[in-house]
Amino acid sequence: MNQRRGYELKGLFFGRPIRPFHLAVTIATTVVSYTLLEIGEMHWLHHSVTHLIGVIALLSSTFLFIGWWWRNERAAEWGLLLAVGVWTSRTVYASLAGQGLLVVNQWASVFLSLAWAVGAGGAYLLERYDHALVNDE
Amino acid sequence: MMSDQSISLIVGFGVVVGFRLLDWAFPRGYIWTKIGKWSTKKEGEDDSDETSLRPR
Repeated sequence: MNQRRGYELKGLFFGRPIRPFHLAVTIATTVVSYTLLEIGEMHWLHHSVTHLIGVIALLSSTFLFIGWWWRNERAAEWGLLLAVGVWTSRTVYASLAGQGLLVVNQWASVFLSLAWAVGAGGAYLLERYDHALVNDE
Repeated sequence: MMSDQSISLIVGFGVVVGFRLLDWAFPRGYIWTKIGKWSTKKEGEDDSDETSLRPR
């Protein structure tokens, strides 16, 4: 299990492998959980569903951190998977709400969310695929 | 009528459930190996080695 994975940089940080994309997803998902829970994006103050998505986003970044710090592959996988759900939800919401996709800020938000959803989904698949192959060896 | 937030939640976490179902239906990530091999397979090539795509 000590073999370096394709998505890890050479070297260690506090004795842990450096996974730049996991770090990026963790930061982005933490920020979106803050915007959902504190600032009131998606109007969570008036809607408990948005509050729920914010809590899941926070859970996702917590799992990602646990997965990295304690080298727990299952936690990392769940963190990425929940991030897919959060970012897909945000993509759909940004497409439906507001003034529609003709507004520049809005379509930028839709495609940025979509990019994170695709990235987190791809990272999840890589993690699953790599995990299965490492276990086979 | 469902709110935009509820539709977002259902679609977003529907995708999550879809990923988990794929994992359950095709365990150990082999579906991605199969798809990768099928899309690049040449005539008469043997596809019995499931792990040969892994870089050594």
